[in-house]
Amino acid sequence: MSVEIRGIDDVRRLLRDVMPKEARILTRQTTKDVAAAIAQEARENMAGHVDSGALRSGTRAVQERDKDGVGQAAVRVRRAFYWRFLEYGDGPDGIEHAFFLRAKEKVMADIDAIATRAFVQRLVARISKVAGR
Amino acid sequence: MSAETVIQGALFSALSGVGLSVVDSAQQNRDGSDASAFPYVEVGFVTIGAFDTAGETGFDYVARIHTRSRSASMKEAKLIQGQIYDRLHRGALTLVGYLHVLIQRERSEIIRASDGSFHGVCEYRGLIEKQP
Repeated sequence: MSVEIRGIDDVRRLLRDVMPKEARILTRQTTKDVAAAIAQEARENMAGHVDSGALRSGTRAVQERDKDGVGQAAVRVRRAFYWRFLEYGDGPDGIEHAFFLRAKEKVMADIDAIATRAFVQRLVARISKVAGR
Repeated sequence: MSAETVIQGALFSALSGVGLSVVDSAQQNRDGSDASAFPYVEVGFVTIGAFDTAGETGFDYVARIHTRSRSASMKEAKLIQGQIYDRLHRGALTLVGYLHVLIQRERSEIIRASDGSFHGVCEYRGLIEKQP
């Protein structure tokens, strides 16, 4: 079987009319991928500034409950409560590192490309999975 | 003048105009800063991204505004954050060489610093356009 989809309008129509459930799954996955890109960028910002690995390993993207039918994701820090001090400049070095703000701004500046890439990857994977059933 | 300094200057003027004590970045205690300077507001941290269109050059920025208070409660910091919100959120800024498009608050919180003072953090996102 082969399916040909041309352009974003085709994708939107197909997802809205033919596969609304798949659309929900894809938006969830795509938002999580964008959050993962921000978490990855933040971890890269931390390199050389954070002594232990607790903050780096504790920084991750998490899927959150849908809001108004739209997938939600967030970047959360586990265990390393001191992230706020480093982020806002209240740490022992007194430097405002802004790991997360800089990461968010960098990803959001290129959000179209990042979200499209994530969406297409997830769409291809989803089609392959459904086709293989 | 660069967009960075223009934005910072506009924020400085706007917040000074409502009677707040505004600095770029406060001196550290270990450098001999004076505790009597509290409360004050820091406006130095601004990140800037491109907001260009085919015909215009612009900037999308986030200004992180810090409020420092040594009051016995968080109330003082919250009141200052309210003053900042009233002045900046969807307000007007005067920028030399640039057109102000929009500024609005994205988030706000207060944390307790290790020296016992209160540290308010507000993030304002704005858009400006370079004048032709």
